[in-house]
Amino acid sequence: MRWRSVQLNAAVLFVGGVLAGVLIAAIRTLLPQWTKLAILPYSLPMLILEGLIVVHIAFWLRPLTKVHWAAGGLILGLMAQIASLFPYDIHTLLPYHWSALVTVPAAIIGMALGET
Amino acid sequence: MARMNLQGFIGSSRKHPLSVTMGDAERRRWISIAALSVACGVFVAYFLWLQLRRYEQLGAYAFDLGIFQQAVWLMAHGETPFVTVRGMNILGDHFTPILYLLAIPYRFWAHPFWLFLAQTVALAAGALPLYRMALRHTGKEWAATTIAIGYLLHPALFTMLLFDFHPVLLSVPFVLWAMEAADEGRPVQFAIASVFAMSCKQEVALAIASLGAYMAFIRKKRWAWWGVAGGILWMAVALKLMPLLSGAERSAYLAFYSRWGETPLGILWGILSRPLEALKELVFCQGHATAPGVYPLLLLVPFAFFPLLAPEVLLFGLPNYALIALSERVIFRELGYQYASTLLPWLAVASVLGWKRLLRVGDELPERLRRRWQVFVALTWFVCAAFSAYRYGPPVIQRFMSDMLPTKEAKAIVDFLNRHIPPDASVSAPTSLIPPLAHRKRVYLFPNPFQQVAFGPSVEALRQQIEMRAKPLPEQEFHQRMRDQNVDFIVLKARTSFWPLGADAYDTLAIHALTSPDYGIVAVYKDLLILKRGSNFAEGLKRVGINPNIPKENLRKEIQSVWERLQGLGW
Repeated sequence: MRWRSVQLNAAVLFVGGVLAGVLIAAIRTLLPQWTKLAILPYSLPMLILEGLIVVHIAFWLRPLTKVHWAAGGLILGLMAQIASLFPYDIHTLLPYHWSALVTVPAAIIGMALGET
Repeated sequence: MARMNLQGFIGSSRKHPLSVTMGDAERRRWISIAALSVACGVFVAYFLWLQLRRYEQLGAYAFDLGIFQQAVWLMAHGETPFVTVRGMNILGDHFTPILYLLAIPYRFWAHPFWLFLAQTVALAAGALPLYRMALRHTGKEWAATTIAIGYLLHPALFTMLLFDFHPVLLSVPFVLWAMEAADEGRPVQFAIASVFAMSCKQEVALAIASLGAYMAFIRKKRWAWWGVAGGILWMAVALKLMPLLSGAERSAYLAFYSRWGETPLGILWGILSRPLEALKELVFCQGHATAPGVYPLLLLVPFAFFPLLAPEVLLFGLPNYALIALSERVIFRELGYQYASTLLPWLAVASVLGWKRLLRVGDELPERLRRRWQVFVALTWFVCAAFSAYRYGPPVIQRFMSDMLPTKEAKAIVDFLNRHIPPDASVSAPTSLIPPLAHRKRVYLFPNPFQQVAFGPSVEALRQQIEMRAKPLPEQEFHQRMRDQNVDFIVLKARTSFWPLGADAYDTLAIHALTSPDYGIVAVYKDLLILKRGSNFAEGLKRVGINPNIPKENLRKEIQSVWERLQGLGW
């Protein structure tokens, strides 16, 4: 039973990370002008949007997980960060930047909101 | 079932609970099959239309459409399939006896439509065994349909259709059928599907042997050892037959693995004895223009990484992946080429098992949350498939359709060629004009057969396909070869794809051909010239505005300026 619970948590966080990652990658590739206009590698609206995506996914997934909300948020945020490095196009990966760390606090906030 | 139908027919107001459940299940089944059929129909109609458009607008190439057009045409007429476009027996290039099946409709109407139809229907048909397998494993019609539609949206799958024709694409539904039959424990169907699959290309035998090994080791099916033996035997026989048919010592394609060894066993030993090096290549898998690590992601992202949840399946697909990742030919690792066709069945089946495992872990959730979990899994799958299809597919399609001419111009060119070149005449033409001329015994990719480039079974010929660095022969020698080779017509186009030559080499050899007194220009249409063997050379010069009485030492210069003028003529 305990093993099944571990499996469920792992599965939920894995799939959640992939969904968050692909949505972030899609936004980054489909709206490149948002990043080009910014002084920072990613513009503020982009960061907010990416954060909001992860908040929503984490909030939605929280009831499915049985780990502590902070741990769940941390893992989900990291998974989303890795997955958001999806190929930018058929030749290159999206460049990694520390600003992608927004996914971790966003996932923790989402999980915390889902907890209440 | 009878009871349900009877009740449905009578229209009883007091329905039996079981009949309601069965009716719902039946309805769900029909809806899911209808949805999948529509998806397959749209897939076939759209990609068939694109391929025909590309062919009709002269965007297709000698390699690999012209090659297979000529091969199937020769088979349809009972001839040995010695393909002059490639300079070798087609079965010596790749062991693809499935082409004989395509020769049947070709006998009645020689048109590449059949080739396009076969490969498009084949890829779409792969969704059916996948659907069956997904339905059996997940027990949910909606999941099976979603998985099958996700398969159709994989960019590595549909972009392969735009690169001319490749019989290996026909293997996809057969491999999936073999996997489905093996999974369901039907050895006879597995054997039949395997034979068809292996007939599509020699390396598919490796997939069948691996599939047999998977069934034998993981699923403990004793009959599956026959699959292992059959696959290995087929591969061994094919690798022996191919050099015999091509007249080479061994298949030139082995040279792509020369870094690891010379013979198949030597290559295997080379890989096993240098595992770290091999592992690095497998992980990074760098392509021609693709950055390290991107190609494996391009294969996994459209399936939402779900194949990673069935590592035992992926492990047995590794030999086919290694053929791509460990090859010297970097183009193997690009989207749009046919090489991924041996990997997609493995990825698709691993995805089915991934889905099954994901849905199963949600079984312990309460009903409401289980629904949420299922929606979540399906949404992730769909978003990944849709994003990948949108993002990675169109650039590849655009690349393959970039050489197309406007419809009217292409039609005018084809009419012009048909008007001046009889159907039984031999001809040498540039790559984009080979497809409309391919249905004849002797058709050559210019500058063949006068100067052999990418021609024949040698390793050098394969390298010339990639490097495009063949040096043009001196004029006198080229003229001598034009005299010796009995080719009726030469077609030259000033603005065209010059592959397998470099641009300068193509121009030099075109001017060599135009200065040969053994051929005369018989027809000119914009930047297109037709030269005929034995035709009046002086008359031909007049057709392009050159005074035939010009001193011989000035002739080449004059022809060169005409050629440059033709290059300036746009559509």
